[in-house]
Amino acid sequence: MSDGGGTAAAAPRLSPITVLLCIVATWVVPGAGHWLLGRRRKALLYFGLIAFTYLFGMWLADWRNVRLDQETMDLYFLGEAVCGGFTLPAWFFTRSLELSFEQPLLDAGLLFSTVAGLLNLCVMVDVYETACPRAVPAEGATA
Amino acid sequence: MKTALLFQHVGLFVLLVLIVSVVYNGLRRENVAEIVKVGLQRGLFFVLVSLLVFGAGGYLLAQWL
Repeated sequence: MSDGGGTAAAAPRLSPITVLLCIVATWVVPGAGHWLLGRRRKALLYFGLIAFTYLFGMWLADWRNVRLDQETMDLYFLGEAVCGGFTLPAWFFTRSLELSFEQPLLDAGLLFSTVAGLLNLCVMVDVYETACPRAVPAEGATA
Repeated sequence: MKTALLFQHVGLFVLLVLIVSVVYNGLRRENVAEIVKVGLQRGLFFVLVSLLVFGAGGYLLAQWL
């Protein structure tokens, strides 16, 4: 498999199980799907950006933004959960921390971690698009 | 204190927009250098436009009200 420079259209046809595995791998570790598909540099870029965004959000919120015990944070948790490999350990190891709504950057931290999860959803779609490229319409064809 | 908070939030906004822009512009592109370059260019443009519209526009609106 090529490293970053090849076109998606030139990639060999992958089995649905392989594609599913790549998407699940991306859910666990952002960029892992691209890594498995041979897009190593893109994988590192995605991993670096999404991991930084997620952890920076947790740092801003003083490690108290991944919670299931607050009704007001349910939707945020849903977004964060798209980064499954980060959210499950984060929830497990920080669930005993006491939440203070006076924490000035709690909202900003929630936003950063949730956006990281939503970006990982985009990356999962990109993994699918890379593994199963759409046919390019013929020259002059109408939409 | 208020100015520091304002700059802190503007900085967080700029950082978040740039990150989102780079990741979003990476979709259906393969060259990492191109992804970063295009993402930063478009992200900075979005930041400038939104700061102009919401920052200056909000300031003018606050003066008017």
